[in-house]
Amino acid sequence: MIYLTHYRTAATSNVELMEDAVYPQRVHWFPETYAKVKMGLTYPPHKLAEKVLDPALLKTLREQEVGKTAFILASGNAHFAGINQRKHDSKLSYDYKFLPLTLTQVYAGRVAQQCGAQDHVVTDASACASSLKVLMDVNTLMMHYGFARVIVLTVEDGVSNAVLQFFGESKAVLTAEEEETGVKPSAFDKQNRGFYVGQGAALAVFDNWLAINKTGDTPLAELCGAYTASEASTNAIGQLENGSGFIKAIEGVFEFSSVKPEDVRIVKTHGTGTISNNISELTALQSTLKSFVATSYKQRIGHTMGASGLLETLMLLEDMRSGVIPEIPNRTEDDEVFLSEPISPPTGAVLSLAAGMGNVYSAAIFKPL
Amino acid sequence: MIDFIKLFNATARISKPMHPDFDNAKSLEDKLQDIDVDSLDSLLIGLYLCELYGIPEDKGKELIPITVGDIHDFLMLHKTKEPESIEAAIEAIQ
Repeated sequence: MIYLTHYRTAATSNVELMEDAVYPQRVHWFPETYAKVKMGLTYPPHKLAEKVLDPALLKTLREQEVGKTAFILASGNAHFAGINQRKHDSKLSYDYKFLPLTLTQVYAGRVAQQCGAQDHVVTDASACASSLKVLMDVNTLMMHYGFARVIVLTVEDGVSNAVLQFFGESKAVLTAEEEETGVKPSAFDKQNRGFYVGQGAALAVFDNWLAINKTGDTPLAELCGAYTASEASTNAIGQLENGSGFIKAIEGVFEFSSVKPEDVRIVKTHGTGTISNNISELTALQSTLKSFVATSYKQRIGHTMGASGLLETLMLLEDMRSGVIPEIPNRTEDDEVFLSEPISPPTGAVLSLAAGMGNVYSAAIFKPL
Repeated sequence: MIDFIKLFNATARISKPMHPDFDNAKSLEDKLQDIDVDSLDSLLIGLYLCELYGIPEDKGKELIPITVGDIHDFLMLHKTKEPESIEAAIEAIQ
């Protein structure tokens, strides 16, 4: 079995309007990660990652001898998406001088050594599904290749100039212009919809039972299974509204875990609140689960892109430990399934979903301990 | 005059954010590989220090140090300015 033993998260409800973006829009961000970027000596994704790379935890991980240890950087893209395209100059524009570290595998190698992970170091570029997709890799490494520990770092700087322009062009985000019509960020709602882009990062440590016996660490949750699928679509930046990608991911995680559909009572949705995702994800959930409640975090912290799947899952597990499943913000209808009000957590397993451009759909199931 | 060893260690702490207690350099004779400064670290440290000493990026790329003293000598040879204090230097690049 695979257990979550340590984690750190970085996300913010702080919102600021980026007026000088090509498509003016609000973002959830840590302004300090962009301090002095014009000098080219700081790189926002690294500054963001440092928020979860707790030196004390890393020292502990380095000193623990648990067995074969892997490190996965789920970065969403093969190089960090924020690298400046110079299409439009804004306060978010930068030109980082130290190019080797903009390559995600180089950065992964550097951080892995700080975590004591010396047996397997890889990166993942599965777009916005990246950090949930790698949980399938965690499962594979630990169940089939004898790894005792896998450390996952996920970070992507979605507020960058290039990302804001791309999402503005594709009408995926809620722009300032749309907000003037009274629309607020929400998901699965008839009136409100959409999200802002956000910065986020997470660090998670997964251990097997032998590792836990050596360290004495307390398991926080069990990772019961994870699966990633695709769907038959010719549109690599779209979603089929019949939910086939999500359905295949959900059915896959049930097939390769001991969890049954009726065991899942809580869903952390992908929850972008776009019209196509609302239809696709709702269709998939209603056709695969029995009785559940669902929430979304993107309206609280923004869409943190590659980091979103795992980061939001860890935030939900944290909220559940505090005795609450938060509502989906700005719902205009009473809804006891896609929650319009916070509730106390029911007993059961947690299903997390994520989707990414390039037709990638991921599902993971956790049991809180 | 700035204590270069202290400036080097302070810059290294920025370059190696997961080692907030880095204070390994003790003298200009220290070899970088002996004080846990790898080639990536030395490139980053060199970049920061060249900025502080007003050395253009293209010239800075010629710096291939073996010891702490190699970095010091390169900076002294090509500098166009100097940081006023360690605190001011760190404030400028952090």
